[in-house]
Amino acid sequence: MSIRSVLVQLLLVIAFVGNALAISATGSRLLVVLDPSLKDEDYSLFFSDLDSRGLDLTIKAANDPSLGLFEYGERIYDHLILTLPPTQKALGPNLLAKPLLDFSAAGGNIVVVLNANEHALASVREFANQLDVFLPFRDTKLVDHFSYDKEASPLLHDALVLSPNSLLAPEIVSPTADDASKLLYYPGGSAFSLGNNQLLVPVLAAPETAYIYDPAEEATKSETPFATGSQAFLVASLQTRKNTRVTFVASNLLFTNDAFTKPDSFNRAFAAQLSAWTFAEKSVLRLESVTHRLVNSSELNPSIYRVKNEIEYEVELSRFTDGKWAPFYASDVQLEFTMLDPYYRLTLIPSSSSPSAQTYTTSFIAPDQHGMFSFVLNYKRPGLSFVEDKRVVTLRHFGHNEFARSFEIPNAWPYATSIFVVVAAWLLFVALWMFSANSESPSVKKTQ
Amino acid sequence: MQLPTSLPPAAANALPLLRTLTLFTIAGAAIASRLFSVVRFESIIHEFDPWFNFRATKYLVANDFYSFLDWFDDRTWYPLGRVTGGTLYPGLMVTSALIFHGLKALTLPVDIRNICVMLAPVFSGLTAYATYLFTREMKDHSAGLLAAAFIGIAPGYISRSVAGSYDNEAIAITLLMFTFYLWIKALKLGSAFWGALTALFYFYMVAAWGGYVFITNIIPLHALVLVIMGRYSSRLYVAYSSWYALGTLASMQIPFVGFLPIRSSEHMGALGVFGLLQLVGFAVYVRARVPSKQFKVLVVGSVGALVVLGVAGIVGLTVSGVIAPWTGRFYSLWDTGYAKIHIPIIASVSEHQPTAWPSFFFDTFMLIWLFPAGVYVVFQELRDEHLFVIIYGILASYFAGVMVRLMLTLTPIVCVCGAVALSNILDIYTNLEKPVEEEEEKKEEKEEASPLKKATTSLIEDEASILSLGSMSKKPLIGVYSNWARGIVLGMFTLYLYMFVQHCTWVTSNAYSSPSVVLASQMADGSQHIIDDFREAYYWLRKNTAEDAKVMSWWDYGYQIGGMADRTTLVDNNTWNNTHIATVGKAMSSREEVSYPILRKHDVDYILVIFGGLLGYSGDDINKFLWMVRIAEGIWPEEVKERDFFTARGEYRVDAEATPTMKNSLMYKMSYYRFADVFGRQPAIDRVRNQRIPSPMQDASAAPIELSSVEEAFTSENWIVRIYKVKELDPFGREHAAATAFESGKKKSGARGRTAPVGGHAKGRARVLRV
Repeated sequence: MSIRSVLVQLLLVIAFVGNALAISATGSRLLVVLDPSLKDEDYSLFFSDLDSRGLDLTIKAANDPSLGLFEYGERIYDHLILTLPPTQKALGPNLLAKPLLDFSAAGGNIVVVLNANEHALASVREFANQLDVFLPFRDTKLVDHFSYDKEASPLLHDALVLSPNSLLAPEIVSPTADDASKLLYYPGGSAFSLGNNQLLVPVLAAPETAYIYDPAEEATKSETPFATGSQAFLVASLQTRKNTRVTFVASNLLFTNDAFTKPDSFNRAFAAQLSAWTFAEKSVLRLESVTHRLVNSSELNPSIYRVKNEIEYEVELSRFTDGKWAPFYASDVQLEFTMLDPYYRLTLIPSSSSPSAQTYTTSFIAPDQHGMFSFVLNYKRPGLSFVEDKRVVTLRHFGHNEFARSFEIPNAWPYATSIFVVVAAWLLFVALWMFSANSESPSVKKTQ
Repeated sequence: MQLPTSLPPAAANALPLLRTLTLFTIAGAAIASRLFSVVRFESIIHEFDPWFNFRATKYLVANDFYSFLDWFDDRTWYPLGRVTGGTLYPGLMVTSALIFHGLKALTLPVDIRNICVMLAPVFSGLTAYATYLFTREMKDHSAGLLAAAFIGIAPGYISRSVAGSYDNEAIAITLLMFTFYLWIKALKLGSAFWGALTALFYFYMVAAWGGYVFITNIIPLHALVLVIMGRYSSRLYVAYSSWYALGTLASMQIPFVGFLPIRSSEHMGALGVFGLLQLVGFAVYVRARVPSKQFKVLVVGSVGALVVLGVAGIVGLTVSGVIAPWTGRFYSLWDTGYAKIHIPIIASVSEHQPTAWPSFFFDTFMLIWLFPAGVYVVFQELRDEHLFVIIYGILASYFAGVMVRLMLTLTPIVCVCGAVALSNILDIYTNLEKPVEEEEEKKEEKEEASPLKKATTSLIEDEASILSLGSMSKKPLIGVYSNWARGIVLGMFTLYLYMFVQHCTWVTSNAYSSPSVVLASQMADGSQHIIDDFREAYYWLRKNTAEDAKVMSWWDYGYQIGGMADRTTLVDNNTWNNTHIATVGKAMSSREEVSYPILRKHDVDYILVIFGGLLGYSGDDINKFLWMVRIAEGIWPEEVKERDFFTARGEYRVDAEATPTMKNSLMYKMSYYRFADVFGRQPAIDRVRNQRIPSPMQDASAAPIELSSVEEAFTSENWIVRIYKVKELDPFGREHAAATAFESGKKKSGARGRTAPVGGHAKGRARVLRV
């Protein structure tokens, strides 16, 4: 027994230390699936950035037969960067849509990078479709005749230069003031469109004047473009209900050493922030604790309250930043006290904070309605991981001895008095009846 | 009752002993005949409501009385909960708990389940005794013993009091008869003491059963009829006033009753008669003091005005809402079609249906034709207490005709009247006295001898000796005095009595002794096969689901899930909230996309359906389905329509011709999900409805039934109980149908055309997450 418990403790310590040092909130094992047509060294800056952040990179070719995301049903990587090889065969059966979805559902984070020069594979297309991301058709190009890169593509207009200010999701990529003057290079490739999935967060959209066209079929003009203007997206992310993250990047060229080293390039910072978000290195929230109790009571989280009790509710939230958990401060965290419908919706007030968590608290008087109520904390903001907590408690009615006694209620005094008056009057009547002599003989009655 | 002086003293002394022995034998027979289910199955609580009573009793035994009184049940009617302590009649549970603690004090630890199972048979023994006392007041000892024997084994009463039928009625009929006996006694003696005893038993009755309203109305009616017939007496005044005042005050102590006795229309009759008696009493008092001329003026003036005032007051209070108007259940007593139109939830209960004529015979056998004879006999004498029997008989006959379950209140009076009639016949035909010249002597003789003769003969039932005694007469006799006539009549009735016992035993054994939780069927070789699907499923729930899992089912099974599976239910047999039941009905009768949000909102984890199609168990949910639809339609007439579940020709079908609404409803899908797979290439026949379920293996055009938002979790051995687990929201934000389609290998449509489906992602617009 003791050996086993020591072992367990050891493991816990290892896990704890490993977690404390980790750059990501969920783990550091990163698998990069590299399309054989792409050269490792073209992305050396990107990979070295990832490596220097503390991620354990495993780079494998897409056609590597040993490639797999699961082993004995267990996830063996925490994160995945997936670039697309030209043929389905080269991808292998372990990277079909279903294993990818399973990987995401099992806690893995995925970055899908489309190859600017290749069309998207059916399996990845299917994976994207499941998330309401619709990948472009083969050989299509995103062009913009107004804001193209005049040096890189003076004729085709398919290399774009974007401003970091046009980024849509500040929680995912937030350019600093210095970055505002820099440029985000998009050296070519297509774009995708998004469906109505509520979980999708667009990160980078094409300029208003851009459109997607097929150079092979539509040399001069495009009658029915796949997507146009801001409906064409270059980067979009999705956070699943299990708080895992998936990011789609429309072009691998965003991350090349070339793009990183161009003058005033924002690409390097962009890639770093985007991957950091996707690999749960930032914008990760955690619910540290939830407690509710009667005001002035020491019993925590009782399962039953009474109507009109004063209840205190307290949560601790923390946020993962720079490899450790820090207090998360927000002014819009709300508590709902619901039974079918919310009876209360209260904004939680930040009270105390510890080095690792911020405490929010509120108190309220339970509604005068018995039933099974839920404390619902539902904090969902784009880019931040979802915080959801629901605790059902019972709100019982007044017990038979919990009402005010009649003598405490002035309104009841007349009734109480009347009782005693009746009792006294009856006793008086009986006394009179018994002691008053009946002078008349009973025979009088009978004669009538 | 005086004993006949002519009897030898030894025999006279032996009579009470004989009676006691007889009563004990009757009680023994009453208990024994209720044990079929225990012998055949096991000591188990039956049906539906008893499971709640059993659960409540366990709670009472585990906690103290006050916590029982304040019990807020958070395991039923999720998320509304139920103030159980204040919405039940605690008499049954308290009785069981008292017996439990009493036996424990006597160092006889008996499992509370066994006490609950055996409570009804034991109380049926007491009912026999109460009926004996009541009938004795009507006629004599012998009629009393006969009535006790009848009520002991009459199927109409056994139907609600077999072992395991742990329901309020189990003790309520006993209390009903005791209350009536005490009322008659109080009325006869004009005693406040007996009136108070009546009130005490009335209180017990109020604590035990909602049917106490029957007493609340029949005693005032009796008093009213007596007053109208000019039979007002101070005895009536004392008996009624002491009963009403004490009984009403006592009944208001039951939390569920509370202020109803002074605020609801059902109780106004008793109050009105109470007031009337005061007026009449006062009038009689005044008449004794005032000359008759003035008295008439006084009566016409004051009493008339008071009555008008009283009626106007009650009407005014009802209109203004101080007195609750008549409830729907009350209206449905007068108009049998009322419930079906206005309150489908009441009409959906089979025991609220009008009684079929054969069931009168089925439940009371020969007593049903002795009943009018008995009423006739008491009409002959028509003492005050006889009026009670007549009123009771008329009212109970009517109510029994309206509602099957009220057969129960009819049975005692049928037994009493039957006993009076039969005892009267036996009195005449077992009287061995010859017609004597002196008329007076004969009369006296007959009156005195009859009780003894009847008692002895009914015990011995040896008419041969009577015949031989009769044949000693020398002169040939005619009419009723002829031995032949006596022999034939007595022989016939002995045969009837024999058949009565046969019939009662047969009915009890075959119709009323099934626990309905466990089913029995006959194998081909005649051996018994037990079908235990319900318990199998409930124990599966108990062992395999989270303790706070919420189970949705149709309300019929709520009590059983609570009692056997110990899981939280949404609705149960205490149908106090029609909207909540309609919500469940809507979830069952709608498409999955409509149902799923309802399930999420109510935190449903599992759905339980009863399906009899494989085995041929006709009481399943598909047969009850139309009631779900109707009840849901009552609340959401725009969204759920009963018409959509019938084919164009107005048929209720589940086969290939079923309407799309039917086929897409959650209930249909859950019932027939993978049903056709069992049959392989054979036609999939639903054995309850004798219809062929579309089978993809047989017919390529038939699409298999697919469920996307729920998944099958458990199906019992004979498929009677099917349990489905409600899925979580899809982690990737897909619709369940899309996710399921993907899992089963279908590609998502969309993005197949040249242009992409347009989403709502305007640049810079803040995305609102509605998750």
